[in-house]
Amino acid sequence: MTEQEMLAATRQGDHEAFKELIKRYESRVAATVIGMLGQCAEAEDVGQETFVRFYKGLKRFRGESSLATYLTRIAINLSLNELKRRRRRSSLFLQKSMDEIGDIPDARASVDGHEDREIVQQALQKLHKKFRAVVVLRLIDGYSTEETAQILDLPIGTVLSRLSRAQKKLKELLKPVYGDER
Amino acid sequence: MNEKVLELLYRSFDASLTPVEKKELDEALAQSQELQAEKERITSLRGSISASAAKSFRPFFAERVMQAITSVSAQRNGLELFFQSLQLAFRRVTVVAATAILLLLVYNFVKSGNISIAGAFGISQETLVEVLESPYDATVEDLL
Repeated sequence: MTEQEMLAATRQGDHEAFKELIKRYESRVAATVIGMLGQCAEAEDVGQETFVRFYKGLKRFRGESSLATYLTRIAINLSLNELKRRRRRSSLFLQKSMDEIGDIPDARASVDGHEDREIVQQALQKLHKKFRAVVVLRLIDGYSTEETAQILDLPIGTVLSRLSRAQKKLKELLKPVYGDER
Repeated sequence: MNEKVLELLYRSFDASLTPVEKKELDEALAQSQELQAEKERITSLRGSISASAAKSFRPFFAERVMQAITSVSAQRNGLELFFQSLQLAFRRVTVVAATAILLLLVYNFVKSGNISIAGAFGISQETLVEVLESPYDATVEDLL
């Protein structure tokens, strides 16, 4: 079944078709949302909300952008909203924000790639959300610089400078982990 | 390390450089081992970030989304049903009220024998003199 056929079937109330669509785009949405929020319960909630919003606004989707880009845009906006809420919550209840949680563990003790991934994810969570968003879209989701600029509604120059600053910061954050070899 | 060249190096990963910039970067890379090492570090860092991408949520994610959609639809259907019943109930009330008003108007017409708005509402027209000579005018003493 093609994407267009699945969309047409969903519009006619075929829930199975929409379920297939979710399965097809789950990894894309998961990469964006988990990249932005880290591996946590809220990430899954935002992932679910992304598809629910898309389903409710299906009539508004005219296919001007690709479905993947459309879903990514919803996912990134909902993630940014969640980060705002998280910030409000942490200031209200004086909890540690995700930005402050835990030091990055020593990767030299890492035994497999899974732990390496977690270390990079943790470093990513330490970036300011505006830098994190460009890194997630460009380096994790693999969008071009132009597409990243379109999704975030930013000038290309801003995306490039944020990418450069984010990479410098990540390099600095991961230096104690990987040493000078990285 | 030259800041300008370093900036060009970072930019070269995400945008196309002009021929002049490219030449400048290539020359700097050819001359500086430190810059070459930096390029390798950036490449490796970008590779690690790309590889850190999460591939999925917990198992049965699609099923959970469909459940959420079904419950949202059920809620919406419940609300729609509530407003439809409300509309239906009020439609009945409106019809009954309109019939009652019509009957009242007809009764007033018949009773007054006068086809006018005042007759329809059962209002008798009185002159100012009739009002002033009303036997019901009360004194302050009466009221007390």
